[in-house]
Amino acid sequence: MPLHSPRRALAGLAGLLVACSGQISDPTGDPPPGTAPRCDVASVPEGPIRRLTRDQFDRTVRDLLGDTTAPARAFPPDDDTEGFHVGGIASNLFVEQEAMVAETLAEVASAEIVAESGCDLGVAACRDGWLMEFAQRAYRRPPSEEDLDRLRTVFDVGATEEGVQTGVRLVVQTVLMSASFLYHSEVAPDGAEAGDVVLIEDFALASRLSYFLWASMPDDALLEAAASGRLRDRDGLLTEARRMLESPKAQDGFRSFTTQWLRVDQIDRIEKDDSVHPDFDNATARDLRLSLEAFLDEVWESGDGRLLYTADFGYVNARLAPIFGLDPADFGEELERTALDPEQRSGLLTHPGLLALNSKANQSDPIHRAKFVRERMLCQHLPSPPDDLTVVAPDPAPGLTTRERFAEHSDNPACQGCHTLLDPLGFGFEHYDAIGAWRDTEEGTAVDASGRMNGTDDFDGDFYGAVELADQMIESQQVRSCVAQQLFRFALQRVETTSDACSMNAIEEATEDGTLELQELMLSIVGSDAFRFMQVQE
Amino acid sequence: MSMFDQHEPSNEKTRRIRKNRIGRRAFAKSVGLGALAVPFVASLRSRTHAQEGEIPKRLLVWFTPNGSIRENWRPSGGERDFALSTILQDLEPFKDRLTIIDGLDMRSSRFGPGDGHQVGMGHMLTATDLLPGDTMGGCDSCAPVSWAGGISIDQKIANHIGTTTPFRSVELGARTGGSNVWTRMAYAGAGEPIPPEDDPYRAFERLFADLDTDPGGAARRQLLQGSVLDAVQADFSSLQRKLGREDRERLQIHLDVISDLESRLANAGTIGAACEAPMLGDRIDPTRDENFPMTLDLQMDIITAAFACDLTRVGSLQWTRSVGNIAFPWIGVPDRHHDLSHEGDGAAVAQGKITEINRWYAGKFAELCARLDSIPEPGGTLLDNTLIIWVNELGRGNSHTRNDLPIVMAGSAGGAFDTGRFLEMDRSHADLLRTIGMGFGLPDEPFGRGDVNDGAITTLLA
Repeated sequence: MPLHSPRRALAGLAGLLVACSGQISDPTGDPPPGTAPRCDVASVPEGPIRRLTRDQFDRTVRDLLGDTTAPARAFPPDDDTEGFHVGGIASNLFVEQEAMVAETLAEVASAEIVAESGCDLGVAACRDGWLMEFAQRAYRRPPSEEDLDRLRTVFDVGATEEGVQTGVRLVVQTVLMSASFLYHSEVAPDGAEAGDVVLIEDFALASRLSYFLWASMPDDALLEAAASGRLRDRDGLLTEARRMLESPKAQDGFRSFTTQWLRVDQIDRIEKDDSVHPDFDNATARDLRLSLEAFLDEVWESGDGRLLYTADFGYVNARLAPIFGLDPADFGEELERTALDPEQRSGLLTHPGLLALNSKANQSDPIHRAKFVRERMLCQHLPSPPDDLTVVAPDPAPGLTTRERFAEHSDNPACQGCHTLLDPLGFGFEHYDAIGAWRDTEEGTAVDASGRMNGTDDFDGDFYGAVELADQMIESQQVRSCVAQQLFRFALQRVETTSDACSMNAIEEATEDGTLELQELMLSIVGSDAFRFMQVQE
Repeated sequence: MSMFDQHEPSNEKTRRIRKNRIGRRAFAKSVGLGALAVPFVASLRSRTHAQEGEIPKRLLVWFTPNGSIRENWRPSGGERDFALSTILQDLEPFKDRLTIIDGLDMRSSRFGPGDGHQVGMGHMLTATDLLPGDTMGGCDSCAPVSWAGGISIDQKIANHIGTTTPFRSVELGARTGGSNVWTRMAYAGAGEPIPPEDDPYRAFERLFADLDTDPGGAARRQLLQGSVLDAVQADFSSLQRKLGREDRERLQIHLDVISDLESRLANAGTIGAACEAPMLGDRIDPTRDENFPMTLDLQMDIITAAFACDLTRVGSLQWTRSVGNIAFPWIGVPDRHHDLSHEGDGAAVAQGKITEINRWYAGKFAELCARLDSIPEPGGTLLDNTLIIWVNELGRGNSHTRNDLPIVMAGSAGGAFDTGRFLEMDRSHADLLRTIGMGFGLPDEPFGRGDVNDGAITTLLA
């Protein structure tokens, strides 16, 4: 069962529940008061085997075969757990699409493999050398004799029928369709009993590490570290993780995380009402996404996660300049790092890509902006409207501001419960229109961006505008812990549970001095019991 | 790079494959958006089935989200002399083959965890409680959920009538979104959602790729691909032996599909001669708003051809998802569907727009009926041998009620259902699902939660 906040006794969340349903639910999964979890013994929940997600598949075939076509886009979407992608149970559609992709990839790769083999693959020694090397990389572990026998048989069928290139093609196809490639298999050691909590086996741990930090397969050095047994030791594991964080591939890992955390990829699909925003087209949406990615890349390079909330710079080109309140004549097609008006912009909360994503087609959207902040940045859950609620909302009237039109929510008792958590927070974003551009007036009336935060652990109170909100948020332990929590979900492809209480405490400690050092945070996750141990299945 | 650009790689591949196939065949594009040329297929199929003495029955589920506007949906008049409403008026040509039911309640959805939309979607075709999981939802119990807790009726029927076709069932959609309880309606079993394919071009490739295989090539392909599938299966089995029970079962689900691929490979080339693939035209990006209507047309073409070719006998067309929130600018509705559905009963403009959206969907439903009806088969047309059922996860959007579901059915599944009727009944929707199963030869037994079954609605059956 999910645990929303191991340290905070769910005060905030319980508040939400009361507000919405009028009934107090027993906060599920919370340890009884007064019983501190024992942290001297590793504790992790049992978890199911995971498939490579689409994102992981694409990066893996890039690193394995040099393919950059992102073929996994053809697969059905991954399961979604709190916004993070999880490789769940395989559907017919997935298996069939994956088989087609494997066939195509193998066809393309086989010619290159033959050309670059450096020896005659028709000769047994050359063939076996390649099979060994390829299977080891693809399976992220040394292949067994049994594995190699199987692949040799496939190779020989192809080679005999049509020549070595067909042999190679069939092997690549087989490997790409195999469970050893498609699944993160974490096999329990011999003799382990169901329910035992054991260290994850060396090569499986190496994979965990590389899919967390690089969103892709291990490199040779990591496989070697696994083979030597160095990862078994927590310090050895952290040493390897530090090496990997210095690699340019770590940017991929952070991108993969932020894309899922903030739904960055959805920015591409933003469409706006032509009659209100005639200049907003597909290219604008794409550039907003690129602008946000460039910003996140810089945050990663700086290592300072506080910039997520405090940065007063952004990436702007001629197309985006009007949205940022800048002169397009000063910019070209390329996105440039630009100082922004610190009264108007401060990190993620004010990035027009996210503001436009959480807007309606023709107007701002306080509800969805507030929902985004609560779910993605405070790690809270907003209950849906009460079942069978009968609402009578007024028609939107011209001349009224957004704030005035939404007054209904706080006047109608049925809506009030949830909307007191949404509207006052969302109104704080009223200086930004449907495409995230700054505005001083709406419908001829001066914008009032006074907002109120409630339902938090440590920063309830009034604020004016998103910039001030951002200042308050980065000083909140709840906000910094939420970044840690989201990273945990990304790293482990699951939601934290009561069994993870000690791991979560240790991870969140990294942010308690008010900092948000991204690498330090990732290392604290890598070093946690939740990351290093598994519970043996029945 | 825009979304569209990102689709380019597979796009090129699709185009290549399609050219190969279509270039060699005489395709005529018949009237209407993306309509297909099928009469040739139909004549061949008729002969096949006359020999076998069996006319296949097909089931097609059609989903639209966010409830309806009952007063603009409900027909007026009596059981067999009813007049269609504003929303359903375009179905007039098929009136004698419709069954419209008002008053069914999704009683099963009053039980188990999940919020209004979650239970609506998960119970819609399963009538079972949602399973616990990680997805947070509504306030009632506030227990997070994962997926529906049982098999959906379309899949239960597919297990019964779909075992002899290359595809047991085919799930298609448009803008169905990510993978969670709000976006899935078909379930192979508890916790086993079946994703729809949102991209008509990929659906095309999947369904029609084997049709072209020439017999000489097929033998070699069987040998080579057979060796691949054998090795893949051995790899799965070898990993399974090292895993716990639950993980073994997970891999088994994957492995079962690999086995299906193997048997399909063994039968490749046997359908090709009697079947035409639909013509899709230039590739569009199905993720963009403006391409939504075209995507519906293409998916309707594909499922029609898949039925006509007997590639499958069970299908579903899922238009968006529960809480689907696209705009409909092509009918003058720039607002988004779910946002509109939260407007109150007094908001006349919003109610009018929701009515227009549902009317537009009804128009598309009528086009689907026309496509199926254009294909003659023994006993009438493909439409006559099909049962299409239009489902919605809610009765009405602003209250999230699952009472008074707007149910429209078309076709009689080869005479199994007594059509041309408007029925009013205060019954459990589980009873309807049960009765549909009976129309396809399933025994008369409760479906889903036992305590919401009152028995079959026998009046529906012929």
